Amino acid sequence: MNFGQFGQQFVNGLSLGSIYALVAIGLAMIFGILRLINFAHGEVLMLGAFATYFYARSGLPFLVVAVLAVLTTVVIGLVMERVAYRPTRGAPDVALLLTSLGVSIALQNAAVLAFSAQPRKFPTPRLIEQQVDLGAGVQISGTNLVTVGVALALMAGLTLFVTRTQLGVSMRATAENVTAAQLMGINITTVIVAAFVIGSVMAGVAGILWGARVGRIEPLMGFIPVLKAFVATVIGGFGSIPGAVLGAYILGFGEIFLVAWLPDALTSYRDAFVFTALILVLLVRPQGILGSTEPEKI
Amino acid sequence: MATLDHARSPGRVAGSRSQSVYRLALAVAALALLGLFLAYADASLNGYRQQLVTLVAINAIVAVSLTLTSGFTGVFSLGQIGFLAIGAYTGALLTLAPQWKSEMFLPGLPEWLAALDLTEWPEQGALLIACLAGGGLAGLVAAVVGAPLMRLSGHYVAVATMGFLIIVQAVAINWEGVTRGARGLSQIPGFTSLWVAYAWAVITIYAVWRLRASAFGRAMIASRENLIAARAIGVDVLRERLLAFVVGAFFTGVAGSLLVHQIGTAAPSAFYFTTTFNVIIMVVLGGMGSISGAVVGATILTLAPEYLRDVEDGMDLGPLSFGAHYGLAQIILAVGFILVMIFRPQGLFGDREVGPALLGRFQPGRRRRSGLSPDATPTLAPGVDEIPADDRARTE
Repeated sequence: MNFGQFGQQFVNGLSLGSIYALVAIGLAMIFGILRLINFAHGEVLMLGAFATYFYARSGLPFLVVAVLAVLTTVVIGLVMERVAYRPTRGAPDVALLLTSLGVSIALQNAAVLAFSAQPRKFPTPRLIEQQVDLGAGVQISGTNLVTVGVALALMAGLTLFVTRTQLGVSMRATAENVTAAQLMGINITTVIVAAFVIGSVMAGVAGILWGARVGRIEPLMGFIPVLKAFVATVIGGFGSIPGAVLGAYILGFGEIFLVAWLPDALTSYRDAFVFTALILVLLVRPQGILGSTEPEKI
Repeated sequence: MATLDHARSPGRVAGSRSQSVYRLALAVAALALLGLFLAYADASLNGYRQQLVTLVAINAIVAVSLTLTSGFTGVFSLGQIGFLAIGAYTGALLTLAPQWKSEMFLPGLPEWLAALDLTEWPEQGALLIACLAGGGLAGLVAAVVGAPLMRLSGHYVAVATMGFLIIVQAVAINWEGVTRGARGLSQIPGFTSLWVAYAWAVITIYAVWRLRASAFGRAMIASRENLIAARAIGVDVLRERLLAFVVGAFFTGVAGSLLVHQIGTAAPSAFYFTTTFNVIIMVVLGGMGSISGAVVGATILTLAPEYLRDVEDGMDLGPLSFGAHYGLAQIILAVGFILVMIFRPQGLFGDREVGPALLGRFQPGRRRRSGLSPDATPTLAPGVDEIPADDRARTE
């Protein structure tokens, strides 16, 4: 692998990791507060991509379309929280996880029903489809560049939000200790709603970026990113947002370089490798790299 | 479980000899009724319906296995269908006629397996070997995988077993020399009859029932209810969980073998999340700790889609006319499942069993809340925004 190829793979890994990070942030945030592994997060991503597809037909500028699509995902996230997760709040962890599996399956099939299972071409703007030459033989696609840029901007915004605003601090406090946060007068419902709003924004953006990356969208597209993001949150530490981002980038790079280095016969097994790594992490350090929750291990 | 001490069975604990005679009579009557029903089904139902009735038994085996693995121990496994796949492929490769194996081009098969010819054998003997091998291999894999995984609890074990399922899926799709990849194996002989499927279902139910009544079962339930207390009284939690995992995997593997010998094909897509989710609905609907609940759940979930299929095909309701909507059945099931989680998280029966309840008597000492909600009331009082989640984390 020469320098040019390495650079290309590096940016590719950075871009893939960025998408995983956006999805993982939402998962980690909701998990930190509700102890819910929200499998339906992938469907928010999928619906974001489909919203973009349908809004783009109106001929509005892509940026406007993207903003509208993200607003749509926020509404979907809020409805999901209100209809499925608020009534089951306080139930045991596994019951929450199963509920989210139910929501996920319902939304997937609803999407198949509404949009058909046929993949559709994603309306990536031509502007970002171009290749950018960085010199030294490193050619990267505009999509990758935009992906990394957008993800970093969103993460910077999130950092400012959780450190500088009252609501952000409340969210961190709640993630730390729900009971104590309540005793301090924090309204848990507000915090949870905020977590779903932020998570849905991130997932919506991730859906658009994923659509641009893969080029096609279909109703089951949310499944793989959410699984990977989920692995990322486990690697980084359940519930820890910086951990989730770190895990996402490790996974993004790991996947890209695994495929680059593995013999061709084994590349199709890469999901198996990813999940073997996941199981190993769970066994060796179930609390993840940055997690601090007590490991649930006997 | 023939060696189990009789004195440990709940019937005896509850007391009188007449009760255990009563129970025996009940079991014999139930078996006789089942026999009558099967004779009827065998004689008068058409092939398609017979298949459906057989499928009920196969699904019941998987659901009861999951009840053992997860319901009794509280270790939630999302990987059960991985064992179904292992049993399915193992059984299929054993009974497939050699000429089909060479026709489908499976270069990854060891020579003896490629040449293995069970077509000369009596059908049921071949099926028995396929089932035992499928179940045995599934159990073996479960022992290897479970030894580390059963140390985990809560979310972590759910996630890790899901990882196992994904790995099995990746192998089934990519190991083309043995599994024929995404196209799957076909031409598997249709050996599974009504009677065999129900015989295995009865064996599974009996084994799991006796296991629960044994010291092992009590230890499993104790560790589910309170891990620390169970360990304090000397329960080897890892051993109990592993036993439940391996036995559950064995019967699920058997079910996998029965399944492919009924439908004639084994493709990876049949052994993934949709199936996993359906089996979970069966178990949760019935009640996480209830064997008969799992059977009822399996029956409902196997038959319901058949009726929902009519809905999918479209229908006329008076002035309203519905076109064909594929996927609607799965949506209805998922929404129904969410409603169960909201309004009745303990399922239909919770930990109780249906037989005694129907006769107005509860099984002694079994009136507990479900495995899914060990300590929480299902929903909080309206207007109370409380999440006792972090407290619960500590009690796990």
